[in-house]
Formats: sequence, C-alpha cells, structure tokens
Amino acid sequence: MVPIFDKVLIANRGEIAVRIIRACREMGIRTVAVYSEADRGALHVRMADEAYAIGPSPAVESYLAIPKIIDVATRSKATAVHPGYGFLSENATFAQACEDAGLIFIGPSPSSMALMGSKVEARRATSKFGVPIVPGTIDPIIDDREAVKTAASTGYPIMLKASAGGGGKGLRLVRNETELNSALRDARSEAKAAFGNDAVYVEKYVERPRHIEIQVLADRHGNAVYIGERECSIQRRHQKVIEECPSPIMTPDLRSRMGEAALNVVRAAQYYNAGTVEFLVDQNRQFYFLEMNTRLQVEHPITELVTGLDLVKYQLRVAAGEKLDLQQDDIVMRGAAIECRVYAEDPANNFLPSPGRITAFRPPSGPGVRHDTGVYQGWTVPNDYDPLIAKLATWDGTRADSIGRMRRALTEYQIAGIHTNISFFLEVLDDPDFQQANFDTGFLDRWMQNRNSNYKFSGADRDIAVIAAALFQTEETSAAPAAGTKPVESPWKAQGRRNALRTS
Amino acid sequence: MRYGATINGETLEVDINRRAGNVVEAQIGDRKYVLEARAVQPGLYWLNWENRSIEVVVTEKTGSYLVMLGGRQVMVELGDLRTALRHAHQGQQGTVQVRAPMPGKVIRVLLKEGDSVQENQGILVMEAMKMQNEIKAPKSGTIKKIGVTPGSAVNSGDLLAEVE
Repeated sequence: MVPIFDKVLIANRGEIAVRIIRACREMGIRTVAVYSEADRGALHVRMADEAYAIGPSPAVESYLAIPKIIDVATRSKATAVHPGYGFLSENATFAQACEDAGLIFIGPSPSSMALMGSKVEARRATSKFGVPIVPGTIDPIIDDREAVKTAASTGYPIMLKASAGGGGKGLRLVRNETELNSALRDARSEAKAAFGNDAVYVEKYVERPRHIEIQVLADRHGNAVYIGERECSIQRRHQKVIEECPSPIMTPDLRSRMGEAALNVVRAAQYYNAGTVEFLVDQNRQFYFLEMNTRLQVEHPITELVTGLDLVKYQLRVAAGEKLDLQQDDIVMRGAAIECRVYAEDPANNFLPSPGRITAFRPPSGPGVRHDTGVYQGWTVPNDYDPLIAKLATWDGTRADSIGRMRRALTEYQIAGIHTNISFFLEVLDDPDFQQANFDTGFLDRWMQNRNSNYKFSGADRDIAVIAAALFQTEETSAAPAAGTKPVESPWKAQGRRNALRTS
Repeated sequence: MRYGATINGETLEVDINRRAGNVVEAQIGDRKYVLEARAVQPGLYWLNWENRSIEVVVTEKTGSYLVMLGGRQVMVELGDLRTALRHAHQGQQGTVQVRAPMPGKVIRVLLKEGDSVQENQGILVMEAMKMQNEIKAPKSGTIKKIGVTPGSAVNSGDLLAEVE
C-alpha cells in the first residue's frame, strides 16, 4: 500500500513528537524530527528517520522559529507538517506559512484557527449556530453603565474578563453591584498592563463548574463526528493534571446534546482536523461553550483507550484529504480510562520544577497501562521547556477498577534523579470525594489548602528509606566511579565495602 | 557506620553495618533491623525485611539522597551524627542560607538587604521549565544578604539569600 504521505515533519518535541512518530511509522510514513541544542539525543530525535538541528535551546530560537522549521521541511522534502500541541500548533501564521511553502499543515485551515483563537469572535460565531454560551456580553463594554445593566439582567455573581485575555489576568469576580465599579477599574488596568488593551466583557459566573470537553473529528468534505467527552475538572492553578473518559456525570442524553453543540462549533468554524470543544457544566448540568482547541489535545490517549480509535492517524488521513470512514453510530465507548500527567516537579516543596538527569527509569506496564513519554534512563530533562515528562493512562472496565489500576501503576513507577508528582496522584486518588467523582474545577485548589500531609514516610517506610540512602552512600564512598558506570557487585566495591566496615 | 539522618525535618540516629551474604544490620533510634539487601541495578535495591519484599530507588541529589519507595519520594540527608544532632537542635536559629532548589534564572528580587521578612514570604522569583516560582523565606527575620540580581542564571544549590 502506498502511504498517504511520503514524509512528515514533526514540529515539536518530547512525548507528543514520539507519539506522532509512532503513528507515522505504523502508516509507513517517514518522519523528520527537529531539535534544539538542549534536545540533542532526545528520544524523539533518536526515533525519527531524519533529524535536523534548528538552533539554541530557548524555544523562540528553535521550536517557535517558523522560518527555520519551514526551511527544514523544504530541505528534507517533507510533504506535511504535524505541529503536535503547544509551540506553533495554534499559530495561524505558521499554518499559513506551511501552505505558502506548499506543505500540508496537519490541522485546520488558518482561517478557522484564527476564528477560534479569538474569544470574542469565537463566541460571536458559535452563538449564531445556537451553541450555548455563558450569558453576558459578547462585545467589550464601552460604557460602565452598560456593565451595570448587563450584570443586573444575567444576575450576580458575574465575571469581568479581559477581551484580549488569558492566564488569569484581567479577571474579576463580582458578587454584587456595590463591588462592580472598583472591579471594572481594576480589571481594566490589569488588562491594559498585561495586554495593552483595556477592553473587558461581562459573563455570568458559573459556580462550582465542571470542565468537560468533547472530542471531535471532521474531514475536509463536511463530515464530522463527536468522539465522546473527557472530564478535566481536576486542575491545579487552571492546569489539568488528571483527566478521565467518560465523565462520571455523563448521561447518553447529555452526551448527545453536548456532542451536537460541539458539531455546531465545528460548522461555525468550518473546521476540519481533530479538535476539542471545551464546555463548562454547571451543577444543574447546563453546559456552556468555553473555547475550542484546534489541535491534538494532551489528554487524547484516554479517548483512544475508550473508543479504540487512533486520533493521530485520523489527523493524518484527514490532512491527506481522505473522507471520514466513521458515522456517529460507529463511535462506541467502552470502559473507563484515567490519565495522570507526570511532571518533573516536587510536590513536597511547592511543586518546584525538578529538571536534571534521570539516573534510573522503569515506568509501569502490564494490563491496561499506556505510558507515553519522551524521556529515558540517562536523559537530562532540560530546564528550557515545560515539565511534562510522561502521561500515564490506565483503562479498565469500570471507573473504580481503572482507579485501582492507576494506583497499581503509580506504585510500580521507578524513577531516580529527579522529583516527580507521582506521589501527589496517589494522594488525590485516595481522596473519597475523588473516588465518588464529587468534584468541580476548584476541587484541587481547595484540597491543597486542606492537605494534611505530604504523603509523608512514617514508621518502617521511613526507616527503610534511611537504610537505602545509607547503603547507597556506603557504595558511593567505597567505589570512586559515578553511579551508573560501575558494574553491580564488582569485587573492588566489595573490598571497599569491607574496608569501610573496618573503619566504622 | 554511624550517621545522623534527617528525613521530613526529623533527625534520627542511625547505625548501619553490612555483614556477609548481603545481610545488613541497622539500628535506627531504638528500632533494630536485619535485612537482605541486593543492588539489582545501580541505585536500585531489593530488600527482604522479615519476608517483606521491597524495591527502593536511590540517587544523590544536591548533596542529599532522593529515595523512591512505592511511588513516593523523600529526601534523606546523611551526615556526621554529632553535626546532624547539633543542627537539629539549633533548628532555624541564626543565619539561614536560602539556596536555589533548581537551576534557573532570577526574574525578580522582591526584597532587599535589611528588609524584615516573614516565614514563607517570597524573597525572589525564579524561572525554570517555563514556570515562575517564588522562593520563600525559611523563617521570619531580616534579609542579611541577597546574592543574586534579576537576570542572574543560577545552578542548583547556589546561594540566593541569607535570612538572619
């Protein structure tokens, strides 16, 4: 069979580049990796068929440098470019630059990307298609009296949001009318400082919402399906850390209504490619369109586990112009999947980042375990990029079994040289509210404030940890070469150990 | 070998000795352990303690030992027993040095020398792995020294500040 593409350049790094290389290889497509100085020897570089250095470690000089990436694509005779997530994946200028260079961008058209990239434009376009949005103003408020009127009609509490916003800047929660004037002033000045634009709009504040997103897949011929949902309410400082599929509160009726709304977003944007439509769901299961991510999502593996579909392969087929071979009725969800984002950070020390060399690495495996990573034993996790080192996902027949499987997998995880948040997941998984799926997007931040331990070692475990450290130190001081290079149980080391004992 | 081991902010008296046949005898406080210990791979130990089978991973990190057991990680400091006990006794008295917990770049310095500071108050902001992190005061007192300026690149363990 002739592959749908001859060669694909992956404009990304880490686990997602590895994920895409695997899909390409399974489809007989040759792969081109690009890498920065920090990523010389990275797993995605080692795995690709071809690898091109594109510059210094800072992303702006490498993974975000559009001309360098287009140049490598041209030189390597790649026919298509996969942007992964993050970096240039939602940059319409890059999508356009690919098209201008005669390359197929594995994503949506630059115009639908630009439309969904603007909060105001996206709200305006989707509301025309009857997609429910959080009540409020679509256009920025000019006159403060307008804000008073809108707030009164939607009802308090409300949120003031910067039109150009993001990252929590220019956001103000207003509980009643007396707070409104000063909140407007603060939100405007913060927005001005952060984005150079003081436009704000009013939105009804949804109390204790869940974040539930719908996976969609659309081709270039007007066919589209929704592929279930993902529950992403477990967030720390607005960053997802645990996701699951399906959502524990989902019903067939709600799923089909949210799915149809998501397909209306697809129509409004004339969208093709895999995509994710994010919704807020309130305590009465009313849902409101939040935004659309016009790319492959970090947490896509849990959808793949539950539906058996390979989303990256579908992205490639859609980009090649193929028609979707799926009808809505073909999408069947089976069992339950959970994903934990494994970060190089220290949960016992304010989640400070922990870059460095991985001296030992044995990720979990076995039934129902999927581990996507871009690291390996001996690799130095660079300081220049985000701290995601792996995504650990488990699948089982029920949510409870899937949680049990995740617990098992987390306790099997062995990694040395860097701190990770693995123990933090064990703590969250043990929480009764988590187990009963009784949570909202504020759950984890509240939970952190009441966290009574750092999952501290106590009793025999604490003593075992001390004994292990002492054993390691004995070997370090008795054998000069660094750990990792010396043979296990060498006679020299044994002799050294005996000497050490004599002096004690 | 006798050590002072500090774990979770607590200092323990440790006496650990290897015997023939991979047997390790340890006394921690008043608790006695006899176990079998094998280095399966560098830094990976398999222990058999009263028929409990334990895998534990150890590496050195910034002068201490990072230990992983059953998915959890903890830092263990090992030192001369008397020094460790003296440090534990003194606690956070006197001048405490604030060192960089990871390599990165200093973005902002929030306090200056002579400023008074509360425990857990931010002293400066460091960027690493695309995230900005406040480095906090380990105790209340006065800023005796600030060792870096905005833009400084620092390595793990570099002196950032001193709190008196």
